[in-house]
Amino acid sequence: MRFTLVVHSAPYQSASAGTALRFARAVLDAGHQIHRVFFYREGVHNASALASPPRDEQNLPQEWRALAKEHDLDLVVCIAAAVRRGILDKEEARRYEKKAGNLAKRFELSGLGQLIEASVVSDRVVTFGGGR
Amino acid sequence: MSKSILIICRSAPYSSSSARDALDMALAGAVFEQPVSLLLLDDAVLQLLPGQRSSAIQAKNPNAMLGALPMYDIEHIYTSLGSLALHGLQADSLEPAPTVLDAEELRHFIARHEVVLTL
Repeated sequence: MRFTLVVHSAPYQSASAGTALRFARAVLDAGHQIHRVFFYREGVHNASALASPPRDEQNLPQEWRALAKEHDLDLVVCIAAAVRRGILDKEEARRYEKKAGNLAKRFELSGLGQLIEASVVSDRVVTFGGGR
Repeated sequence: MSKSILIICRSAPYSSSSARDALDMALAGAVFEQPVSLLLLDDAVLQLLPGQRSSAIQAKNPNAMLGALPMYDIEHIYTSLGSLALHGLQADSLEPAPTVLDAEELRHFIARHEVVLTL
């Protein structure tokens, strides 16, 4: 089966960001495909290259990156939600005259159209977080 | 290829970015020519209260933007009897006036959409 995951919450404050990652692993372990993981709202913080948690704690951006590398996942971050919250790639950093971008490798900024396209072609769309 | 998309929002207009983000999802769906329904439950019915002067808190007024949805072929906004009762509201006092579903209709309404996005 083909899945799309939507992540609405940031690491640490909400358990759902970590749940999304574990769900993604479970989906892949069960032999299914992930068409896309779409990070929206506070979920864009999962894509920060600057997150620096203590060594003995989970580092979600790094773990997403590793999973994406292993399974060639498409990790898309909503550009409007991201830029507002200070998650920028090099190009956006230049556009908004910031000193540097901080989007982690393997993540890509794009529009909500990517969520709609993913919803249309996937068998299942599963949302993590939100509610507020 | 086309799929019916339902977006369910449950938050009051200014308590979080939910109202705005749900609207952006709905518009994106419409722009990509998918049939989109917007369901406002619980506190989200407050998004439809007329006369909101949101500029006082430097926020954009969602009920003005919700009124523009028919231009994007999103003709109806839905809510439930329970949500209206929760806030003591009547559908015809809201702008735009929503289509009201009872508990049974709500279940069928959600079930008949191919994709449900919540926030």
